[in-house]
Amino acid sequence: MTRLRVPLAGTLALVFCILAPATLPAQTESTEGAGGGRKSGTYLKLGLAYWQGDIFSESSLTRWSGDLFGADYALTSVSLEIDTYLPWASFPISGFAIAYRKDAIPSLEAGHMLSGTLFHDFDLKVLAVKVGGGAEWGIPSLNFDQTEFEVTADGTVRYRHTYPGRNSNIPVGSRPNGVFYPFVVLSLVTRPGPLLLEFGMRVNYIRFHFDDYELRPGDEVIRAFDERQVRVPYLFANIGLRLF
Amino acid sequence: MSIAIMKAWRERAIRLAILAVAVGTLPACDQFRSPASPSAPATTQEVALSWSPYVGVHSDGRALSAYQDALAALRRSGRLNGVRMALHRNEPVDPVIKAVGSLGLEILGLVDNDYLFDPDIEGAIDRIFAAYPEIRYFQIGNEVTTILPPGGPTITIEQYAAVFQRVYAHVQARHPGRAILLTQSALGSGLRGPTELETLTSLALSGMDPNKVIVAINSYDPDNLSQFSGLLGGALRPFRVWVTESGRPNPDQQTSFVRDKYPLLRRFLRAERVYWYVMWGGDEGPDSDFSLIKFPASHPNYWKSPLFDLLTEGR
Repeated sequence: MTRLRVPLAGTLALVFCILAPATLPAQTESTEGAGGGRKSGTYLKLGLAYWQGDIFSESSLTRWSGDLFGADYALTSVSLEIDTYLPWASFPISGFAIAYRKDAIPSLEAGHMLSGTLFHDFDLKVLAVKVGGGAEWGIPSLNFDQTEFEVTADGTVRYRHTYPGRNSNIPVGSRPNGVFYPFVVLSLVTRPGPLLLEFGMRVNYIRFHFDDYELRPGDEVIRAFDERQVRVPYLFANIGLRLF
Repeated sequence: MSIAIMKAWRERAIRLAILAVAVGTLPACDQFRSPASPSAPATTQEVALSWSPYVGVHSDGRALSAYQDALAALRRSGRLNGVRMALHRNEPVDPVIKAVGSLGLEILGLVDNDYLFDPDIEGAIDRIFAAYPEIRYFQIGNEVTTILPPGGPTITIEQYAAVFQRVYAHVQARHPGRAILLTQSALGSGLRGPTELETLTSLALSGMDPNKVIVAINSYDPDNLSQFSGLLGGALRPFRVWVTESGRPNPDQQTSFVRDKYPLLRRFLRAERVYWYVMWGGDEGPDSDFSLIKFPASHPNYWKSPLFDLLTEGR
């Protein structure tokens, strides 16, 4: 069965359609609040993220599967994050964030990620558009690991193992066991009163390994290894409370 | 635009954001379900798709008749290509292994842990090769740092690496092309197995030909294998991997284990083979409920597990 594919443009359009009605009218307003000053503050955020895709078939951001239950990986993450909005908004940095995200929630061993983000928020009065980038480090979820086997009529076994290449050491267990990669993030944020509400998309740039093995009768093994950086996106929604 | 309209838009945005969080919560809650919660028994087709046609067999003459019957049934049904059997030091030629081999099954010979303390292990390997010319795959020890009784001699992974190095060098020098060696089985969950495999890799495997050695792992908990990923994608990238023991000590959950967990072993470890532990683990005791058959002395009326029945169904 052919999987429905939703291109990047469609996904972004969906995000835009949901939140644009709230932003466009606001653009006509000149200021917000008394004095029109920037609202600074530090927020504690709780978040949910949803990932899905098909690394195995080398699709990622540009071939994001629209079939919620048919992708090669699909996982939900929870996160805890501290966002600081600086009192000034001089380009390119108007704030920063540090976050812990738990992927593959039932697993104690894997899916523990720490990240740091620098961002700039463009104030559209009712909402802000937040653009940022950063780096993430941790033990990735095994949800991204795939192996597909094929046995031919003459008994030859072929398989491809696809997984995020470990390029960092976590000081527990066998090494290397961690990953470190950059990401970019785009979101829409509103900060009514002490609350913060955010919805957006993040794209991680993860280096994947594509390892091919061919085992012929008689134990002759042919190997072909490849590595490529793959864009791995996810959607997220956060709710936060101002700390100070 | 009036302040009232602006406020309405802001409230709408807040509602949408809360809705997005709530919708996202649904799959998150689903992930909190316990993986140990009972699952429906697997169908014949589901098991057939996931099953790996390899089983561990304890060498015990009392079970030979039942073994021959049960193994032949699995073989006829196309569900068995090979078995893993221990080569014990006190028995130069094991008649049970010979009888099982005569069924046309490939045998993975597990060189028992006792051999690891033989000062002339090279001579022992020569005798094993002479006694079992039909065996091509030899595993040198099993869970060597954890299952040896504390009263007897024990071995560290560093000492094991030295022994494995000696065996490898001897086989390549005296018996080139005769055998493929398997490492001792690392424990498949927690930190101990992966850490020991890392040590074995740095002390021995990194200098060996990956065409002549296969990495062995015992995994009863395929959900917790993340610590192997870095090794298998790093220094062990060119090595093949076999899971030499896996299973569930509950006959009623064996079929769902094969359906649900065998694919994870292949997916996470790129395991070419998975050996079910075990054909018969005794009629009582801690390994009994791993068994595919029990009470072999009652042959031909021995007990068969639901998994065994499903594997041989209609054959």
